[in-house]
Amino acid sequence: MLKLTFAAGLFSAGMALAQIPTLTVYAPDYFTSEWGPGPSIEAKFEETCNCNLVFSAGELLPRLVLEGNNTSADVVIGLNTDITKKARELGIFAPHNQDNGLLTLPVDWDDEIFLPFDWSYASFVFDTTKTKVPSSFEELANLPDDIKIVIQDPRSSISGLALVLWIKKIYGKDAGEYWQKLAPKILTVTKGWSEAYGLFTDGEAAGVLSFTTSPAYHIVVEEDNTKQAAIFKEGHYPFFELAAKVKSSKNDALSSMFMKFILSDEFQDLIPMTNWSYPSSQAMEKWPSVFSDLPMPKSTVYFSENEASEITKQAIEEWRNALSQ
Amino acid sequence: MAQRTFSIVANCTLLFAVLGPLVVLIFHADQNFTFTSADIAALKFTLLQAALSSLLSVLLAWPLALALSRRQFRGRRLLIVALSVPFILPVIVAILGLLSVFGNSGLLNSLLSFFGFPVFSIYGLSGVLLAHIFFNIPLATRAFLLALERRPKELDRLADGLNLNFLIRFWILDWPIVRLIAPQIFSLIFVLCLTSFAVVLTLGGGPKATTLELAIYQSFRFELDFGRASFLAFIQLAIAALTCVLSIIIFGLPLNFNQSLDRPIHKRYLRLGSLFWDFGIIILMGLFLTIPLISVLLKGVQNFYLLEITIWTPIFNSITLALLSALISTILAMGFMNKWGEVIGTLSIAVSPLIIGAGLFLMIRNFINPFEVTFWVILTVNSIMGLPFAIRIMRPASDEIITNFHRLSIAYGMTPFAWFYWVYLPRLKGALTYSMGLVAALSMGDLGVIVLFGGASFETLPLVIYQLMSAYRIDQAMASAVILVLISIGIFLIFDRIGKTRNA
Repeated sequence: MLKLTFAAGLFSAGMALAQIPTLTVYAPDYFTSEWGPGPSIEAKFEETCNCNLVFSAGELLPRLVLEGNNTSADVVIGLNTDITKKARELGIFAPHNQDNGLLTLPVDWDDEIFLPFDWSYASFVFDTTKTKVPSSFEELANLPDDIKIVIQDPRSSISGLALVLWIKKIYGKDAGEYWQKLAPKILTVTKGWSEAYGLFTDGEAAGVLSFTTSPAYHIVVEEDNTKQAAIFKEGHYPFFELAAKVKSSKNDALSSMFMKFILSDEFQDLIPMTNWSYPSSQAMEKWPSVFSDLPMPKSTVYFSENEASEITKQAIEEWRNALSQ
Repeated sequence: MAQRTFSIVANCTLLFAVLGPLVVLIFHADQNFTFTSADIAALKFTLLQAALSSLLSVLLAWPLALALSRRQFRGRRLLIVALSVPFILPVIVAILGLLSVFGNSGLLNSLLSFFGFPVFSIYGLSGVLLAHIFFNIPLATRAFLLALERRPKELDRLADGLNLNFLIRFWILDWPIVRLIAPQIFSLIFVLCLTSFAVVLTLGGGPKATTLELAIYQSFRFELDFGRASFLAFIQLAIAALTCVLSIIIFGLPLNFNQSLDRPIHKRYLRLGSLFWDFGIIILMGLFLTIPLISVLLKGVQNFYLLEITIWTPIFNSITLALLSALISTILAMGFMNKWGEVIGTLSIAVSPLIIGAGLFLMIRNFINPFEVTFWVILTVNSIMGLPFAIRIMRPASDEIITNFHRLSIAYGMTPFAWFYWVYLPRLKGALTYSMGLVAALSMGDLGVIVLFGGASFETLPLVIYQLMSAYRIDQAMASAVILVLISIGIFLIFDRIGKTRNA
């Protein structure tokens, strides 16, 4: 008898589960991991959506291209601005239909397809016990000989690419020359952000290419105030992370609900402490004080999507030639 | 006959599994066969570092193997096992280990500056070579050691008795083993270094130290140019194939020692000079290989308190994956116990896991969605990746057993099963268990294809380490890496123990 009730219970639970729709969201590994924003976002959204949100982790764009129209993704989250042109040309994304006016970004955002959910500025983070923090690219290149920095390769890392574009925007045709000047400061170039940051926290280098928001992690989790992001007077290159709706999704209502959710306070509140970046649609007054207290760049330098895609190849070649000597 | 059929089927299947994804991917995408000046520079550097890395690894491994084979001392087995660890460390953890000794603020530079000497920089070609020999000397040493331990013991006794000098001894006793093993190991390490990318870039110090693998990764991930990615992967594959063929066909000669009485030797009388030489080598190389490991262990252990209970699931997943792929690889390897098998078996590690993953996806997507069977995809790929190691470790032993005992067994009228169970298997045991241990450890430490197919529903320990690193939690990542190392050593020791038990 007991067995029968148990089985009936299981059965009805199964029915209930089958009735609520599933929203499939493709996201990068760091996003879905238990230390990323994924789990808390999933819990928060499921409170109200009467649905089952499932994150599927892995490479985003290569996977979408391979799957084509048969993709099971409804929404993709975690794309970067520097590859939006490629992503847009795939023609697999639908307009997000959200009010871009709600965004609180340092640039005007009028993209109908890609919706930013967080952002930060590229910056060099330094260990203040080892060096004085430079305040311009010139000062960076003129640091003492034994002070070294680690950067990421623009060909394999999106933050590495942001740096190359940043320097290109500021130095224009003299970018190659500046790279040559900076070369002796660069201890090494890594494949991705985590290798570089690992070298930095291990004490191998005094500075690392990262984000203005990185010190927040050390302050909050490690109670360590010695990591500081350099603020350059030339201005900083912003880095946005984006979400987009997949055209072929059969859950249009639910995907739209999720896009709306991204801009809500419930979502935005989770971003700073889980993704260590600024929320994309929230006034600074609502940020955790650790974040609003961080030094903020005075100005923003930025290439539009089309400008960036035109100049990227050349900028990377200049970088490669300067550093290969 | 049955064995021959198995061998042909296995070879064809693998060739299909490796070439299939590449071909499918090339035809799926727009073909793009451009080869830029940056690619040429990358190709040149790739060949240079791979050739030097493998040559140095083999050259340095020989004296170490010889010394280890001649000496018995306390902790010898543990040392041999510990020597296999660098190989399975997650890349960034291994790099941090090396840097703790050779880095800017590493042990060596601290000592140098303490005594007033100028410091040196590891970054550059020297750093790349240092890392690659650190990873690969252990592999080469073990392969030599297995062959040395199988050498008829009567020969050693005879040479001792005749008081042969160093050179004659080398020429008569050692050279045949070097000729047999060195080309196999050289080609394996060459292919491993050919596809190395994160290590080369980080320790190479900049874009001068770029391998073709970076261009493949860039085309695949950022430019979504699958045609170019697979074209470059083809070039890499061709280089790997050519190296394997050349090294085996031209340089690899079969052993022709007289048959041994298959009896162990108990005591040897060696000169004092060689005692100093042997222990000098063992201590020097032992320090080079173990100090970075000890530093990694120390860093990890002091952060053990950061580990969370959720780590048990990935640990369990990784162990399951490791044991199963070790079993599959080792059984499969028996179908590749010949020259061509060795070449074909090596091609699987010459193609980037991203490309294999993507191509496999295109091949099977009409039948099944690979993202729903993550475990099986990863198991398959890991088992194939383990093959070249299993083949190289077992083939020399297998060949010898067949040469020495097969005719005799036929004369006795043994059934194939009896031959396999009573003659072949017991004598293959040492190589077989080492192969299992190595493939298990490799699979344990491999991030590989899970980056494309993985996550959320199925997590392995290397993936968790990678996620921790991306979430700033480097200390916790180091602690998890040490767990990974300890489990791998455990698996290694268990297989080692099984290999040492006597039977038949």
